Amino acid sequence: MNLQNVSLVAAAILTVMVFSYLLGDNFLYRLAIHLFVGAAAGYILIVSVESVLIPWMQLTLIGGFSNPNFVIGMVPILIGVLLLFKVSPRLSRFGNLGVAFVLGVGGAVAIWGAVAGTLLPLADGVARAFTPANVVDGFVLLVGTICTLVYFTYLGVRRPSGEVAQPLPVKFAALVGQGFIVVTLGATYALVILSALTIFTGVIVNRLLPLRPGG
Amino acid sequence: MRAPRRRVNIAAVILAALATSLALITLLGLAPVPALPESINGILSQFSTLLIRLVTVVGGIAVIIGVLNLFAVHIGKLQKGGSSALYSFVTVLAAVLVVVVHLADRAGLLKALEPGRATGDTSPLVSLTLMDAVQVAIESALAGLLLFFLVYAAYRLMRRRVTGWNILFIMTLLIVLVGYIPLSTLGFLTTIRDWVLRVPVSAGTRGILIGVALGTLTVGVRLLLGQDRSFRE
Amino acid sequence: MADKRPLFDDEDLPEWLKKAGITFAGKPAPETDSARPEAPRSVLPVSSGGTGALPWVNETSTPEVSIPSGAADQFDFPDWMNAPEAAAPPSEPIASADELPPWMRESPVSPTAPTSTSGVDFDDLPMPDFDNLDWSAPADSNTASAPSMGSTTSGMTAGLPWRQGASDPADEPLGAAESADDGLSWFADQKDEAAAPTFEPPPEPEAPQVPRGLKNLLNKPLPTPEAPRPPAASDPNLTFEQWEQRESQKAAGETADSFAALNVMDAPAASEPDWLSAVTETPNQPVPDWLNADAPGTPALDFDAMFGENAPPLPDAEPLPDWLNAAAPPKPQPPSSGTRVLSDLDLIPDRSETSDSAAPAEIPDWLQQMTPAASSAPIETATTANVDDWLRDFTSEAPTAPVSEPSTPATVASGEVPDWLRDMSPSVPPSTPIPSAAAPDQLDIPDWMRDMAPAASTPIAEPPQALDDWFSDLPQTPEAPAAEPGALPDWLSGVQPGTLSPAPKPAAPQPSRANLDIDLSRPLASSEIDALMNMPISASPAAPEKKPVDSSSTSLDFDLDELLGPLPTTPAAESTSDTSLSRPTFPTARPTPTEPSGPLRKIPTAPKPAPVAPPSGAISTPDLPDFVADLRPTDAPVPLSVGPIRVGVQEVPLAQLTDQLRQLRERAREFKPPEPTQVSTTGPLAEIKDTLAVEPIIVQSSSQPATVATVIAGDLQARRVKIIQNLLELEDDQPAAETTKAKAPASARPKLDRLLITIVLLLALIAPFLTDAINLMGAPGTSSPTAAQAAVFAAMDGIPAGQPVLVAFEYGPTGSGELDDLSRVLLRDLFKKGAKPVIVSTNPSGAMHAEGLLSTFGRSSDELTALNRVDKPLLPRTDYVVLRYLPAGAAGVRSVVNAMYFGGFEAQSSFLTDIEGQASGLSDTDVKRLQGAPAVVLAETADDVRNWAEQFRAPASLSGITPPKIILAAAAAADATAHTYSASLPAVIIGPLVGLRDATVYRTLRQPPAKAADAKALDQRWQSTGLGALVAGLIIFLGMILNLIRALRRRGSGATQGARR
Repeated sequence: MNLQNVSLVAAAILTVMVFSYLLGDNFLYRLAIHLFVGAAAGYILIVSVESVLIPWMQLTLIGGFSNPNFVIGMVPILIGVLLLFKVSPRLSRFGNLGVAFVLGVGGAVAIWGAVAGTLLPLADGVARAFTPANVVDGFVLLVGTICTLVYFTYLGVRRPSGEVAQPLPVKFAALVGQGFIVVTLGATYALVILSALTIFTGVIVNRLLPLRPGG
Repeated sequence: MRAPRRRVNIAAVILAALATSLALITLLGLAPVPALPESINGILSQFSTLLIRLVTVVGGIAVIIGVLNLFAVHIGKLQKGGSSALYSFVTVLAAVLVVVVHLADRAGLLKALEPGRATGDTSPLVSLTLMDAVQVAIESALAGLLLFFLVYAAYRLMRRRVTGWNILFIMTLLIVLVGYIPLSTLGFLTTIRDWVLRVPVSAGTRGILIGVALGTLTVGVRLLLGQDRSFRE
Repeated sequence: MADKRPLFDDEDLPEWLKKAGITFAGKPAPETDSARPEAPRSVLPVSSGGTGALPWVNETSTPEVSIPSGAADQFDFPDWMNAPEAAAPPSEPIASADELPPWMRESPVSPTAPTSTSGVDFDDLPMPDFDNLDWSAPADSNTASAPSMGSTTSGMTAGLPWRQGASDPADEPLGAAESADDGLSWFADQKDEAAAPTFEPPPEPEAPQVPRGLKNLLNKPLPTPEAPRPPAASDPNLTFEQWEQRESQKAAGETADSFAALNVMDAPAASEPDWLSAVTETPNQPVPDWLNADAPGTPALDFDAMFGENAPPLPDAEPLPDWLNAAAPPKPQPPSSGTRVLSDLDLIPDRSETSDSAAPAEIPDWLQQMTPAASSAPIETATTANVDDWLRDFTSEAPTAPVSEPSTPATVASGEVPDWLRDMSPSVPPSTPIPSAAAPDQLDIPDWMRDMAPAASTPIAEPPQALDDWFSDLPQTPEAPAAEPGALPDWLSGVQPGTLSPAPKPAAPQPSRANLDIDLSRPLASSEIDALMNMPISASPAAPEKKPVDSSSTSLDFDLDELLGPLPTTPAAESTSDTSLSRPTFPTARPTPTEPSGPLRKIPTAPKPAPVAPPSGAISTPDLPDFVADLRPTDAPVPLSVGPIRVGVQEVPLAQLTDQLRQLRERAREFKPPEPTQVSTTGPLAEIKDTLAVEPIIVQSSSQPATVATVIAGDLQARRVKIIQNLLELEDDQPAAETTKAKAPASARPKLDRLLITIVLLLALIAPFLTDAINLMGAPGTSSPTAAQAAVFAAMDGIPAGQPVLVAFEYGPTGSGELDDLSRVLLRDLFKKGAKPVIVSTNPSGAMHAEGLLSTFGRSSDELTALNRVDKPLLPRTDYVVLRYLPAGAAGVRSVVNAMYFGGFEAQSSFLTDIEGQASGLSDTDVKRLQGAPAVVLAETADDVRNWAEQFRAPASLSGITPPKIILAAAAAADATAHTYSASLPAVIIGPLVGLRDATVYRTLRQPPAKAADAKALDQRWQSTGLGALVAGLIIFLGMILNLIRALRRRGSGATQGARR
């Protein structure tokens, strides 16, 4: 039995161990889960060190100050050390410097991506969908998008009784938006089921069927 | 009464200033202002690119720190003993084995176990095989296991309460799910499914995505203004 | 813990003190005696058995409750008590040495100046001015005020709970010695101010500890007949009241330091008064029998019996308490010499902490007189500048010496009682007793002292008749001159010296007295006394489990042993008295000069002296006369202060209480302060300390419930109430949920319906692999590709050979079962075209999985055959490159894009090495060529799709760049998002290809399997997926129908029940 066959058997056993959860929480399932967690952590560590840390150090730190990128290379290391302080409650405030660095740059990237990659394109897409050739779909698309956004709007008017109520148009739009959201979530739920179905059949094909006689 | 004045935290101010300045520089590098000279925009762009690069490296280091923290937690559980010690032991052992096998594979110590390796192929085959047999198998099984719970949850959705929204949800679900199947007798479902996905679902998804983008923008603006909560804690 | 409380806070006061009106916050502004108004009389704040010690006094001190002081005239008082100040001979000493017991002879007795503004009652009594007791006096204010607070009295301050709780800001446990030091804390500053070379190093305290408050209290100036308000100190600028006021202003909370007059022990002998000289020089002179504790059958003062608290008839004699000695008419003192201070309690050996505190220059005259000659020299060099303020005030305000002011009956209605006075008593934690070197059960405690024991709720014992003899001796003693009737106050006018008889028993029965199961005819043990006093027995060595820290940290349950020191017959008492007499010197410099000076100095940690075993049986307690039992110094009004306003609540002797009041009193005594607040773990106030304890709400039925009906809650309020209720319900349900969760593993059995659904689904998914009989699904749209599929096909066809193509494996092992098929068909196409996939991933597991997938793919003979490259396996870094993992999500994607367009360092850091850390083999040209081909993105989630759709665009700083394109392949779960972005970004996103169906279509149309088995396997999987989707849909539909029917039935049954109702 070569390594491939061993891996097939092991994978099948582990798969069955995980599926045993269908009968309830049990030791085999927990064992498989913790095995998975450990293996995943190990592989993540390997990948991070081999493909991120070591290449960066080789690129910037090897050679010391003679390396023109040495100073640049030290910046992430220092920030990483600051992040390491987050582990200690007493020193965690120093780790906030690293967090601030990541937040500042990452926030700017997210802002620009949200504006240039989502807000403008999707808004433009909604407008372009409303064409004379596709009036109904375009209208539904437009109304659905707007009403969905209205649904997340919490503007209202405070009544004398103290109740905060939305105006009727807003309320109606929100109601329509809620319908679109329900439809969207229902469809997404079904799509997730389909993904799970596909994955399960893939597990059968890749993990269990190879073990059948003649497989 | 006047609200109590918020005490100025110097550290928070420093953090906010740092994050805000970095965010502004990055943003100006990503979206140069036409009014600015080309040279300045170029410098900002280069600096922004460098900052993003540094952030990616920092992200990698953060992942390493997180993994090490995970090990520390499980080692701590091991030392405490108890029922969870066994599982922590399995976790730590699996991690150590993975690392050891990978290093040994990279060092060429496991060539006897490797399947046929082509000339010039330096991939750590044993390590990759181990990963496929353990991590991929377990994760795939877990994802497949999700099917049963999703179906059962949908089955019991209206058990406690029946509303119009629940019915609409289930109906959409059924259309999208069953319409996925190319059954000749249910061809109309496929048509309905395509329309549902293309129009109402797309509308709802657009609204949700725009809302997410607006939320991201709001958080980003708060970050730029130094009003983010993380600076006050 | 009390030791963690802030210094000199009212909360540190014992409950009984606060109930009695002794507060730090309520001290009035300093005022001279002449300027003192009549109404806010100086009162006796300490009430032992009287009403002043009871909480209901403060709360229900209605005019009906307040009893004028004249009520006390129903009692028989000894002559010395009845003696007015005018009747006392001016030059008559308080007591001759012959008449004093040994322990008393050791302590000089100084007269005090009575207050005779109204000529009433207690001014004539040798009671200290409790109103002026500076409980809040900080130590620094006592720096010079108590220069002689000395060696022998230091231990008396030990163990005071308010002291211990407030004296050490560092929360250090205070031992007895520390407390003694703390009690002399005013010396802390003096060590720095003036060295006292003549001071002897104080010995370690071995004497019993006496609370400083009591010590000071017992050393209050005695009334001087000739000088009703003689100066209390040599300083003519400050009265004793002013000094106390100053102290109270400096630190609200120091209780014991006010009694600085106790320091007379350290006063120079040169200035010692005659009576004191007589005492000190004739220590062995005979004393009256009643004062001789060793004399069998001699009645000794039993303060329990005296004041009606716990008055077991003690057969043996007990020494007269010093406060009774002090009660003797004081020796007249020149006004310039200041008030003479009773220091007969200076039985505690000196301590090093206190030895340096009294600089000679700062010692008042009256102290100098009491100082030995050796220490008088430095005193003579004293200048006025060196005298503390309080001493200066003493001199000038001599007439305002702290004496008991006429107890004008002042009644305070309940409404007039300040809230702070009502509220603060429950907050005082139960005090713990302080260790005592003397037997606590053999001490005579006046009831105002006895009241300091918070738990002294034991019924009053019958005063023993044996005390009558003792009492009969009292008038013969010089310190107890007979009072002239004309000088007596009203309430004392009826008390004639010759009519002094055993105190009348209280008219009202005291039923609780019968509950005592203690033989009062024998000497009581410490535990019994403690039991009588209902206080812990920490002072007794019979309680070894008591931690020393506890016993010394917070205690108000001091015994009289601690107050008065050891008894004369006990060795400890002898040593103590020896110490007190042999060291009437000023303390030397402090041993720890580095300590911060000031009243709040940190008390050095010192080992707590071991409690001295009570001399059981050695000293017997005499019987007490009834009049003593019913006479209480607390019969003076109890001050209730709110800022500068102070009123006095006249206490009533116990005997005069009505039955109802007695019951109330007993109930009040049973009141226990609430336990320290516990941190709630649940509820909206979880983890919040010091919250109000949850008290049961007693809702009294009202005949008019209209008040409830008038409550109108708006909709918003109702909604908020509902929200809060839901939150609370969630909180309440949490424990139950956790319990259920804990039991879940034991009862984790699959439900029947879930088991059936699982089985059905499993059968539907597995059956297509076992048989073809149930293949219901046709081929998934293989006739013609959709627009998205066609666009992908076209894009793939447009990739030239040798073109590096960026492939993003944005899925990990979780999505491998679905997206591996898509990735294979796309990679197969790329390889067929001769393109070079450059694989990146923002998921570390995805990158690793991609490496494994390509490794397997590149070595598969079937794949290689399909690629027409048999025996030419795909090699990493040659045919494909698995690049590094891209951390930081969107920023990682952005960095790759930047590297593609900017090159240079960016390109190096991104493309230089692969996932194994080896050189990727990609050149700058290859990196730049990545712009020319669409990137293939295999996204598992919507976030992956969004990240790439947002970030994979050319930098805005570069102009004239063709926007890069994305061939999007997504899992079914990301189908909606992928289609949305594809529709919104048609110029960027190609596709999308979604899930297994598009993979099957792609494979069927463009990469038909060469082997029938592969085709069959592909079909079986498709059939399995289709059948599973169908069965899942049917199950969900069935559930919907069943639930609808059930809901209709519920609704029908509900309607039926409603109709029946």
